[in-house]
Amino acid sequence: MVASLQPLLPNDFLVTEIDKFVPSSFTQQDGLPSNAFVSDLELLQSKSSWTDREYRHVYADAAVEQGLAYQIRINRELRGLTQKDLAKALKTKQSAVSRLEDPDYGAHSLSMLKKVANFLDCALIVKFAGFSKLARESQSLSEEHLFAPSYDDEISGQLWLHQE
Amino acid sequence: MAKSVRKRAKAVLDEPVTVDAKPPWKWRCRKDDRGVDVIDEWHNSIEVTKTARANFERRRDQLSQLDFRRWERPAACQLKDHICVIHFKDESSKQWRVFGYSAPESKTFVMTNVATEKDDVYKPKKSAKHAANHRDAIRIDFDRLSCGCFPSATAAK
Repeated sequence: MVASLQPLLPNDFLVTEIDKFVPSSFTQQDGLPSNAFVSDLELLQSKSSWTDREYRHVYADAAVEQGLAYQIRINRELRGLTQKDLAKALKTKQSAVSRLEDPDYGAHSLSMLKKVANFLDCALIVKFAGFSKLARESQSLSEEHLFAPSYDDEISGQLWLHQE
Repeated sequence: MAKSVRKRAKAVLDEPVTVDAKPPWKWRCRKDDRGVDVIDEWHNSIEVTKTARANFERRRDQLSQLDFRRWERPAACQLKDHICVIHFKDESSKQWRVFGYSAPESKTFVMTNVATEKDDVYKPKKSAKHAANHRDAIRIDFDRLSCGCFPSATAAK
């Protein structure tokens, strides 16, 4: 029940509230709890290279650049669209979409991202966050995590109706 | 939206979202005859800048959570016999290539050797062949010739 509700809850709630129900039976492996529940702080502590300020900011840059590219590609493909289809919708060239989906591109503009979000009928959220949130985000990069459903798909109730 | 599109999207929507995500790929590194982790040695060398290491870390974070079929260009490329190359750049656009092979049964990727690429030519030139040779050797003596590295955090969603 708790697990199936997780997508509805903010991360802060998960860490502080769900931890109350989880016995402290973590076993240590590679310095990390093997249990599925790991707090944001523990995740941050596991990123030992991030103690270097310059390094963690370079990682944050890489997370934006690579993360956007993967999100665009996965959301396009899961909607059965080709790069050409997306290019047509964005009134640009297929090569421009290919660049948007290149994890090394690193020059996504906010205006283009808003156009993509508008076409996919999903929201674009841009916000500042602490590095513990970035640590958590870095563990949430599966296709399922990167998929952003359209408004219609969400409102039809398909996504969150798995509570038992 | 086309019917086929909705069908594909629905297949994703119908997947229950649970805490128990698919386990990430585990990373292993090749050890040489001296018992030294060659990937770690390269990773800590002076020629690998912070940007290169950070881009590599993010690339690992991303790839480790994707199906192997998603390890595709431009982030990676798959050669024959389970050999795969992870691509990333540094701030001077130097193109780093980390070779390795996948062991799908244990969802492990063993990194064997590192190269750079320029104008579609690897340096060292025979990096792909070296990777295949290392793979064959490691398969025979897995525990002695490889070690766990770059542990992934097991995270709640």
